[in-house]
Amino acid sequence: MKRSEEAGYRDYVTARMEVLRRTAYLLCRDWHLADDLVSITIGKLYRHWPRVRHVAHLDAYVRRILVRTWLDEKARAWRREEPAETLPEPAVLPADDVVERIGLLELLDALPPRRRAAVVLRYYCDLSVEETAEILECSPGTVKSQTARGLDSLRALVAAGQS
Amino acid sequence: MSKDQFDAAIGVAPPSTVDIEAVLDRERHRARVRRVANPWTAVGAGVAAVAVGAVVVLTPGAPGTNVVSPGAAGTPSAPPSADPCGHSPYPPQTGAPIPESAAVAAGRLTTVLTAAVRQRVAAGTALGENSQGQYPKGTQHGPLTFYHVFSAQVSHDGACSGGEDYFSAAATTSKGPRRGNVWAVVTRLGGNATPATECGPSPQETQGSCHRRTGPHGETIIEQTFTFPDGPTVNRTNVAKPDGTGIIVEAQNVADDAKLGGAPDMPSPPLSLTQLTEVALDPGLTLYP
Repeated sequence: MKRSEEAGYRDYVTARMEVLRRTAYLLCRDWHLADDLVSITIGKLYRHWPRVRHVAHLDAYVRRILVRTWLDEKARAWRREEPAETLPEPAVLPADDVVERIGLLELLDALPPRRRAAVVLRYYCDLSVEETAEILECSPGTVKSQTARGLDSLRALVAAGQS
Repeated sequence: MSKDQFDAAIGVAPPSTVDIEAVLDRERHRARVRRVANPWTAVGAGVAAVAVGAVVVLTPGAPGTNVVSPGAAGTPSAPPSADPCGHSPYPPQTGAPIPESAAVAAGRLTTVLTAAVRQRVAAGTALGENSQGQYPKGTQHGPLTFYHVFSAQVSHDGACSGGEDYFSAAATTSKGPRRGNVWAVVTRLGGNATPATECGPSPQETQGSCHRRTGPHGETIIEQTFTFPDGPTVNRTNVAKPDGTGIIVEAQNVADDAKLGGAPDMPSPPLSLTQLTEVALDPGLTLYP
């Protein structure tokens, strides 16, 4: 890659770093893993940068890499096991606003991976049904149903929590 | 549900641990090994450099050494694959496991390569550290000092990456204002860094020539030279030895890397194709001493 292309790549990645990290965090709920996902994503982007740097929807292209990378991580068997010898101590009760924001993330965390990705892409990244479908490699109808089920699940969880 | 609600829920993000420069270093190194070992995958970019390089790839008993192919990982058009690492685009490893430890092999190869290059470069030429000799990030190896490149094979997003297992060495040559570089790879035959055994087209946007011949002891030799438009010239020799060792030695007439662009730092690479082939055919440059 030419130096000028690398400079453009570095500028783009630097400018998008924060939103990429936050999107990754919404998907995985772990800042360390989120940073790993972003590192993998920008590495993949580098390999294709000379070809994709001028595409009209570069942000969508990068979001797709990020989401696909995370879904791939979720599919790995070792991710399903989180052994711990002892249970953590109960945390000190947080303030109400903290409960509220942690609650939303925990509710999101309760969704299956693809459903969670659909909700994040639709409502955090503000993508259309069609754009979300392209990233998730499924039909728009599937996105609609995944999103609706995701929202239904969130509502049910909220209702259960309130009762 | 809105973006603001999500942002509020996330709160303040902790300091980033994403190291962009480390990612750049890793991907530059990966790209160079891939385009040298598989020149038909190279994408022409622009400028000249003098590089003499050798890569030795060791993959003892590994099921396959895969590197992500261009256009695969993360590409919207990439088809999903259940086991992307199960289908290597490269020939399988055929060389036997090496008889030495990586450290011992690296030290021995360094001695052989350094002597062979010093004998052939112009009198008074100094060998210095080259950016390609930094591995892993932050660890700079001396001029023409072989280091072992190794990474586990992993699949991501329908593509296979990692699986590297080879020795590489590089140096910047300088004589007054004239600067170039030498780079080398030594590997078991097969895998992602195996030398070419047939002539292919020159990298995109370059003009050059390629010649295939057989060496005195049955070696398959591919000698290739190409020049970037208004830029540097690359001389490259690929040698496949009957003992199972693969060698790539490259020289460019720029100090860093021809792919990075810029004007040549000297009229022609510090080593000619004939000299590169002599270096590669050195009996000591083998994985099976």
